[in-house]
Amino acid sequence: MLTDIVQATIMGLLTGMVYGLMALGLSVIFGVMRVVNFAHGEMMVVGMYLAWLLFERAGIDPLLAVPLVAAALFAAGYGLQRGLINPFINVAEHMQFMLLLALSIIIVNLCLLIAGPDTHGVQVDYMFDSYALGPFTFDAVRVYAALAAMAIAFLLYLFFTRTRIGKSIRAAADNHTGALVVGLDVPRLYALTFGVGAACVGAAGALMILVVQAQPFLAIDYTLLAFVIVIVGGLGSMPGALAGGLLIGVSESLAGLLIQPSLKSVFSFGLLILVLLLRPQGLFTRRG
Amino acid sequence: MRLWHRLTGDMTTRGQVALAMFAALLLAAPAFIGSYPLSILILVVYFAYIGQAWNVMMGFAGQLSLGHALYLGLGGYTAAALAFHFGVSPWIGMIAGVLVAMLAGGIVGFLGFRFSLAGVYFALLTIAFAEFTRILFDHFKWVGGSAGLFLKVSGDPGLWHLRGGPVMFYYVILAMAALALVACRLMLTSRLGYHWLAIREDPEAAQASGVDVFRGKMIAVLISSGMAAVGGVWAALLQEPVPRDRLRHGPLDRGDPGADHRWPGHSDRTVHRRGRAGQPGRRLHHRRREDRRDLRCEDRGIEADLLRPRAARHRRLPPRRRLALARAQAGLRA
Amino acid sequence: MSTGGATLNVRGLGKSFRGLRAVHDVGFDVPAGAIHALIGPNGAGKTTTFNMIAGVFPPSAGTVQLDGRTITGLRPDRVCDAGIGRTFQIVKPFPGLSVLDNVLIGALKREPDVSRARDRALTVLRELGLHDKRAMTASNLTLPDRKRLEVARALATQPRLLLLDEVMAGLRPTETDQMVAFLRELNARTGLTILLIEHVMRAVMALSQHIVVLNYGEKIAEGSPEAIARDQRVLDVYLGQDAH
Repeated sequence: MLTDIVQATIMGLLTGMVYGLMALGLSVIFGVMRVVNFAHGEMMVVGMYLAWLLFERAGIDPLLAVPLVAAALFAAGYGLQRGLINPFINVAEHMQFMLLLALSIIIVNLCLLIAGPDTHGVQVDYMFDSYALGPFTFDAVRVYAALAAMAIAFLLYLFFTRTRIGKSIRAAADNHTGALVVGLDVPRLYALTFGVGAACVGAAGALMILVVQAQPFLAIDYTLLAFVIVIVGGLGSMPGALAGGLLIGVSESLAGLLIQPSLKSVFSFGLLILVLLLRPQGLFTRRG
Repeated sequence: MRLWHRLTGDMTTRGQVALAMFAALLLAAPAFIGSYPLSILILVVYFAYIGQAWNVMMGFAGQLSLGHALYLGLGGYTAAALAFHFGVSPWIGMIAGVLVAMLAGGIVGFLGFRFSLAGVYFALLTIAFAEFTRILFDHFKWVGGSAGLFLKVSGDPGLWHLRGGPVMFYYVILAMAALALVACRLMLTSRLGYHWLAIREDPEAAQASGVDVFRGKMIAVLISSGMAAVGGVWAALLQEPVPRDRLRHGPLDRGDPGADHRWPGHSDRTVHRRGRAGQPGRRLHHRRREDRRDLRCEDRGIEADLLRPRAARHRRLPPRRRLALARAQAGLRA
Repeated sequence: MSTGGATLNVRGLGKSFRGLRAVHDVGFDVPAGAIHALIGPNGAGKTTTFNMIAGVFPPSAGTVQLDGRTITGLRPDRVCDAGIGRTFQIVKPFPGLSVLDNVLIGALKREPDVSRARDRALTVLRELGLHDKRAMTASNLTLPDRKRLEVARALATQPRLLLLDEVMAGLRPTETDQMVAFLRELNARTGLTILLIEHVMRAVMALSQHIVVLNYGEKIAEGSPEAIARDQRVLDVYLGQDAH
């Protein structure tokens, strides 16, 4: 039993890393622009489909396709923000929700139209490989996905702390007017941020396709999951998003093992409720 | 006369005449439109009703609820379960359904308002509760679990048991929508309505002007959830199988262009709805009017997936793929 | 409009925000029907004191009594029940509602029937000179009109004590004089007790019968306008720097 638990925990950590990357994208978008991106899961699914397409048509391994998918989603996110979402930045919140909800509906149905309701998976050569460490086995795909997710998260960290653009974005997040006053092109920065967030979630999608089959209806689950992770981890906190991802990954895995797989989300939502009520700033951020 | 004035506000005479004509058109509609347009009209009026319910919380009191399906589902399920297990008339079941939904609304509202959640956070709380309950209901045998409740088709027809053709359902929902419109208008122009508006516009200023903000918000959520529950009962007992994706409550409806939501016509149904379509791999059968064979008893008929806060759980997979998918999905996030 | 004025007694009022002492041991009395002012440099704790009286947050120490009844720590709507009306330093109208509806909401406090409350609201609007603009959306009003709307809404609740937080700020001298005249007339006619926070000395001197001076959260002086204008401590801390 103990080995099962540890095994499940490790699996949860591995998957949780990819969740964390997905949530990182949302954290960036929400943390900087306070845009509630209800289309987040949909972007993830688009990433999954893109990676699948590249694999089917061009034989590109999803791990290698990550930069391509990320770039494509970056461009899409940039355009979307610049073209559609920007006017909604400072209006009443519920208008934003509706806009992004509408967007999510459109995206899911486009996916349905184009790819149909059937699932699509990626059959890479190493799909059935695994690594053994004592009594535990790790699926190779999950390990690679997790490692790639970590690498991307690290790159993101470097972007936000070392590059000028990254720092400008953080400035704009901190103080919109102040950023304007020192001459930062805030609309462009917002578009960049959305693009970066979208690229993150696209990359997460490209990694996820190794583990899960793509289907339009996963989108809403991912959106909710991303929000659970971001709230639990702490809004606007990037390490929090990663930590939250790991936490949720593990809790889902353990819940699936100890109770019943179909009940695994109950814990995530239960945790969300508790965090919202008792510690809305998140578990991994300091108070205030 | 004063009541009429209060209802119409500053509508011009021309507006009032137009309203009367529109009402007359709606009343006469079943006589001259075909059954498919009627089915669409039923949905339209249904959403008009649900929209009123949701609007009490958002438009009046300014509280964004994205988990409203919870109340629809609880209302519908309570009435359906009572009808299924005890043969209780849906009108009685409706009362129970409303009470259950109001209890849920009261809990969500109490927690949200006591803990001062607003905006996004409150909306997420509502979603969390709806999802949480949906998943639990999938495992709740008394209401049929994930397969849903199949109500007996053979039963006394007529208004009391809410069994009948689409025309009956149309008039019922039309009456509900009209009543809801009148009720909401009366509420909005009352002292309570003004308090709601104040809460929506500026809760702090409202409090300083003597409005009990917590109480106002709680009343809003209770009324809104109660109204939604009534809609849920109607939807649950709707004789015509309503495609699942069409029964997303108001603001979160996701239409599915792929879903061919034709109504199977008036002939007898072998299967009845009410499903909890949470799990992937389930199949929605209800595609074409002609494809009668798609309706299978053992499958989960048409579900009004009312507890799903957002849309389309709409899987139209051929049977042999279902199993493969189910296996694959079992690996989902494990 | 109001039924006379209430007495306000504040004793030992204090408030700390996580270690920052915003207000400490502030006490004063405002007799029924009087007009008193609370002045001091920015950050002196004046609005915090108001907020404690009005119930926005409970004091860390001290009591507030209205007509002998303890109202310390009551919720703002309960405080309004007790008879206190207040305005906000940064005006908070109900932006999407009409001017009339704004005041109507205040009037509904004492008058549950909507049409009677509306009549009362119209009367108040007339007194404040906003009757012509009653159908305008509040967000479209100019600042002086918004200030007047704020006062009108507070008055519609039929208070016996009116707390005015910098109601003259941003008004031109003629507008200030108009507001002063209005308040003076209101007080003379109805006996409404008024406590105001003000930086506009012109108004303070013209209106108030008694002034309390705060600095760094503590009361440093109190007395008649003439005495305060000559008080050395007050001059050092506040008036001497910028007398308007």
